[in-house]
Amino acid sequence: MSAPVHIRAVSKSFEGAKRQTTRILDGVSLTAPAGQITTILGESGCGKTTLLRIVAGLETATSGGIHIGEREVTSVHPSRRGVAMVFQNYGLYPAKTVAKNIEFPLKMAGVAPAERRTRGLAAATLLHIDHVMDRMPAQLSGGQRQRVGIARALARDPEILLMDEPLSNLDAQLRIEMRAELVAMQRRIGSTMLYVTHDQTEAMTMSDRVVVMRGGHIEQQGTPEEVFQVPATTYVAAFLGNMNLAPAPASETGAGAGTTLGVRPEHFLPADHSVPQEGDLCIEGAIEYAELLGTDRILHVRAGDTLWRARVDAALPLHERITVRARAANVHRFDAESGVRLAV
Amino acid sequence: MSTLRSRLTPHLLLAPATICLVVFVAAPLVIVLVLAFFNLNLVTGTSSFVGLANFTTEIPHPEFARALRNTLLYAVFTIGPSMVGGLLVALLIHGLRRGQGFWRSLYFLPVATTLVAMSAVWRWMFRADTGVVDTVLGPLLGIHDWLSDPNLALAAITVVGNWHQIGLVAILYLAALGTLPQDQYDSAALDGAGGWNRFWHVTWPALGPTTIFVFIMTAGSALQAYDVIAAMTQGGPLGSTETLTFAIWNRGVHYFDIGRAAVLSLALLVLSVAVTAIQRTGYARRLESGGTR
Repeated sequence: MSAPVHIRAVSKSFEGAKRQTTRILDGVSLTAPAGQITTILGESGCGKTTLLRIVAGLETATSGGIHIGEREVTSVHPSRRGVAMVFQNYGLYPAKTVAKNIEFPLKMAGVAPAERRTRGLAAATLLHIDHVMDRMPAQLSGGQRQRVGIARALARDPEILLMDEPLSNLDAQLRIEMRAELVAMQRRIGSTMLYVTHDQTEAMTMSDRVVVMRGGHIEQQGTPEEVFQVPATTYVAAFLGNMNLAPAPASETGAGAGTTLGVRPEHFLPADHSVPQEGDLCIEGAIEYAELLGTDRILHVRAGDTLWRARVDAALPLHERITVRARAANVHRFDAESGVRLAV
Repeated sequence: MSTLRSRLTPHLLLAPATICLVVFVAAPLVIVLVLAFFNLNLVTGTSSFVGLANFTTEIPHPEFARALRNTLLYAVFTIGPSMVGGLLVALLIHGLRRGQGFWRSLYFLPVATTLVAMSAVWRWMFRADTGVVDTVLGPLLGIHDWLSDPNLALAAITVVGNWHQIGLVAILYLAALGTLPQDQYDSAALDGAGGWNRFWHVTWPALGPTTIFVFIMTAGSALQAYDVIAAMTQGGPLGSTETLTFAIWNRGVHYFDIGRAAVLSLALLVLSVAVTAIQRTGYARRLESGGTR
């Protein structure tokens, strides 16, 4: 049971001190397809959490609307939208046991005690916390607490699952495990998931669709592959995968003035170990710094005013200077002023 | 030498606190306990051991039962209403969009004033026939001259006690309300909890430690209520507002009967210990730990 979420031209402004209005969201429109994971990715302050809270009904939009399936829910109470939410800080009830936390939405919905117990236990079993049902939240680890938060969200069989940075408070190893587990869980229950994160790895690994937000508007949306391989703006290029961005050198053919070139560090090839092809971008410069990452090494190459990062094999012998090349297909071109991708 | 020194150091560091505890808590307690078994003549300065005589004369005396009953009545009718009233006031003020500071100050004013002076004002308000209370409530309730009526005097004292206490309770609850975790309210909204359920499942458990603290505070001042009574009724009429504290003062200072005053003090002590014990029982314990995240 799932439905798509349509966010239509949602704007949100806050009236701050001295009657100054701060615009948090500026005409955001997107669709989260039914039964898929849509990730809203952005830095803190870009409005992604506010957008999610508007979908949940915890905030009201200044203008625009939310539709779940065919239903317009813009002014429907949070509990009647068929959405459930998982919070970064878990949002558990500290005075209730795990079982009572999970069953609470069912209790509020007037579900009979026996059925509450069965459904609560089913949700807990799905998240492997059925052995801690009688404990209090304070007696659980962070990972277990977030599992309780997710189980509580699942207990109601929501059409839409909203996740607000659910893994941010967990330690690195647990985050990697939970990532895979969350995807597997979503595939099993098949509900539509809107997932807010600032972590590009989470966005890349978990999503069916990625929406990159910046300063209250959508910078780009698409599949993870699209967004990574064909970034629409310099911001997306830098945020996902940390692309090198530099003004096009005068020697570079085919690029007019006011063009920014973008090359991913891993797309640079050492010139000595590759065959030159037509249209290659060649960079010759001094190695300022080298970071060893294990099998690879990131070289910081100074060429003129620009510092390029090139990811090369750690076995490559290092000299003071190096020449690297990037194939024409791997060189992205953006308008220097607007940062928008230029059509080739 | 060094071992002796290392053994002494902690005791030396604890000494200031220990001395204070002994001088101001333990010693008076022991003195009261001892005095209860003696007949002390303040004029001649002589004293004689009388065994349980002070207990056997004081406890069956009507004064004892009356003082105990008045203390309990006063406690029940100030602790409960001032806690409920203070919580309601705090919730109302907390819900205001503007003017919080004004209402907070207004309700806190009684706490900041001198209770004896305010009791004088209240006595004037409760004055027979011409006082505000009689002119306003008299025609409505058909009762008048509260302070001279043995059935109403304690009620009048209780009104003043509540008036004084509610502001303090409200301030304490307001401070706690300001620190409540927002994320639980978000969960509650999504889980479909309405106004009452939000209060009962989120606000009330989170206020637990404050509730216990407020209970101890209000119970302490209710059991020791003295200034309102001294300023308004002097324990009268017919001893109907004489609480244990006032009886202690009456016995000890008025009649110079230190032995029987000591017995009354011990009764008050037992009552205080009983109240403290409530705080350690089931529900209070759960309330106290309710706010732990």
